Amino acid sequence: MSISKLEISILYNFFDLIIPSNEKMPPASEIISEEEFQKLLSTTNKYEKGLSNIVSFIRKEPTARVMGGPMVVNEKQRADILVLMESIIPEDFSTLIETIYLLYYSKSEIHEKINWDTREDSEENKIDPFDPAILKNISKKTPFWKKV
Amino acid sequence: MPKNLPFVDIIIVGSGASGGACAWKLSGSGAKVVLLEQGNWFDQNDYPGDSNDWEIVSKNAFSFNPNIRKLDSDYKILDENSDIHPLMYNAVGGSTHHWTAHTPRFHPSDFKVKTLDGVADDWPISYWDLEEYYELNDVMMGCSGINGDPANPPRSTRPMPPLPLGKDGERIAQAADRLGWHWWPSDSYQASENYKGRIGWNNQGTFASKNKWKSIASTDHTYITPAVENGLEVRTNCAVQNISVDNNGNLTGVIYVDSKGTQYFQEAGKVILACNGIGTPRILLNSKSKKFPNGLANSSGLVGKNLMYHPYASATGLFNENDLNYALGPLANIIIVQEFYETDPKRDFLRGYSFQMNRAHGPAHTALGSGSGGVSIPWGKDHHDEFSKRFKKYLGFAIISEDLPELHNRVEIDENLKDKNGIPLPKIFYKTSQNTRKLLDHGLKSAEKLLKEAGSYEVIKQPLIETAGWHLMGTAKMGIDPKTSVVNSECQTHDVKNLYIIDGSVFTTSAAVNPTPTIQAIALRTADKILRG
Repeated sequence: MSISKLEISILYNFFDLIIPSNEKMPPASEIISEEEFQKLLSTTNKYEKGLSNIVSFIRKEPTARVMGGPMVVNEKQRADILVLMESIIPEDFSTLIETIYLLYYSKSEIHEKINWDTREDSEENKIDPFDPAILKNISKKTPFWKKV
Repeated sequence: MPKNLPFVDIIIVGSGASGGACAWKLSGSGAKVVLLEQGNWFDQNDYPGDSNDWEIVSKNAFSFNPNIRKLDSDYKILDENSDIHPLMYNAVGGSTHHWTAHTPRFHPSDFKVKTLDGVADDWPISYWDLEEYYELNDVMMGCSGINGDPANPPRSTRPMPPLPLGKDGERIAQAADRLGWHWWPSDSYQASENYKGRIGWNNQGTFASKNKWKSIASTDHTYITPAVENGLEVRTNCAVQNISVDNNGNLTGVIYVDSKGTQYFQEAGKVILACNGIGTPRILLNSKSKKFPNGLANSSGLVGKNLMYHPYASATGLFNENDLNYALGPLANIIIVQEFYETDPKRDFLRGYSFQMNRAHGPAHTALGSGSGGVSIPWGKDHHDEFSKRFKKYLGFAIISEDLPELHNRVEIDENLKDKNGIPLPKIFYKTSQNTRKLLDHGLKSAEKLLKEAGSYEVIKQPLIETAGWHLMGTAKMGIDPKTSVVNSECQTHDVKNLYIIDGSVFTTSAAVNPTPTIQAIALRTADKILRG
């Protein structure tokens, strides 16, 4: 993988602006560690190009350069950079979004908070068998397939 | 020089929907049949699911898209010039390991579009020529469904009852009833009860459930395993480089490479291609010779041309209620609506479409907009509120349109870019037609009407799903005239005796439903014709 640890840290610095906290939900950085982000990137090269472009965008962004680098810009400036990035390199930005959303919403802590239970034996996950009574009306429709 | 292997009667290349069915039908006939597959056997326990990271895996290592998945068995598809990205899975069983198993049949009218509507061509066969093979395939694959659909011809009782509609399906059914529109429980090759050694789905669990995946038919189990018991030989991890002919143009066999890079020449009496609408023209175009300088079976120039996909649009309804099934039950094979299936001269497009009701995915897919117009939930301060608005509160329709054949939509090969076996890669050129755009636009309006009737307060529309190239058809067209088609009505190539094609490549037109039962019926019919000599 060609994305370095430093570059991952640069990206990680923006995570909580993508998914911030509210009264019920934690921010992204509380759920996703830098190591987990790195692990995802090591399993596929699908995200490599897009994320490299993003790091490059951040590094070249004038505010970050004037302030002394991407790690020292404040929250407002980071948010402005994201808005700019979304409009100028939307495909690469989508890559960043995909990685963060996938990791955040795959965590059991989040599943618990949003009441997402995939267990087959969960009472909530049963569905009633097909009931032919539902066909009462549609069964009266005259067949309309073309006889050719 | 390749290693020569002793003569066999028949080689089938590709073990997916069509190759599996054909192999089973030919096995036990006394002929020596070898099935070549570029992938490996697939262990059903390897289905991702029942784990928190299921959605990560489904977007990467178990993606529908081989260009993302990048398994050893996959080859890259050069699709930068295609509006839609082609999808497939390479293993014994092929893409039947990675499908929703929605299995409607073509309508009788689908075989006669030139006669009925003056477009494309009529097939040289009819629905009725395939009927007995559709029936046989329903039994072998295990069809869940119910008789009485007014949009389709009467047929035999399905082996299993329909899959459950769920509260959301019933809501849609009732809304369609109020509009006076057609709807019917979808036919599916997902088992609704235990069937032929397959465990039926127990009506429990989400889309991620492993048991749900296992209840879906794949041809390695339904056809190939019984065929092996009948004497079929399966060779895995074997990528076919080309089909060989002698100086007179008579077929002699195939050249393939195994996983160790060893090259073989397998002499054969007949070769049957079953590699899908991209893989099959790729092999034919790579099989150039003195006699066939433009590729094998290509005297018409139509190998690779007329690529059809089934362009999809999606309409997703947001609901206030919390009682939708959301991700419970089948993902897509729930309800089909065929109210707008045939050409209507009052509309500004030809042919028609079906809707397929579909359900939501898990939370990550919800956040990323899968199943909701492809629009991600916004990042930033509104993220959690927007997520709550959508999560567990949407359902929708995929609109599947008939795609008419056009010469400029095509598969070529790139002589300069090759896979690990040195085989030139396929390059796709595809533009969505004006007719398709108008058709999908009409479909979106219809779907919106139905969703609103069902109580949706907002409908999100996606005019074209670029990631939905599941169905690959038309690139070795069936027809009577060798000048305007590649295979005849028995799927035998016009140019090379003893070379057959049985996958979606041979489709003359695409219809507006999923193609697998029709592909398999054609494969079974072809095998029958071969056996009868």
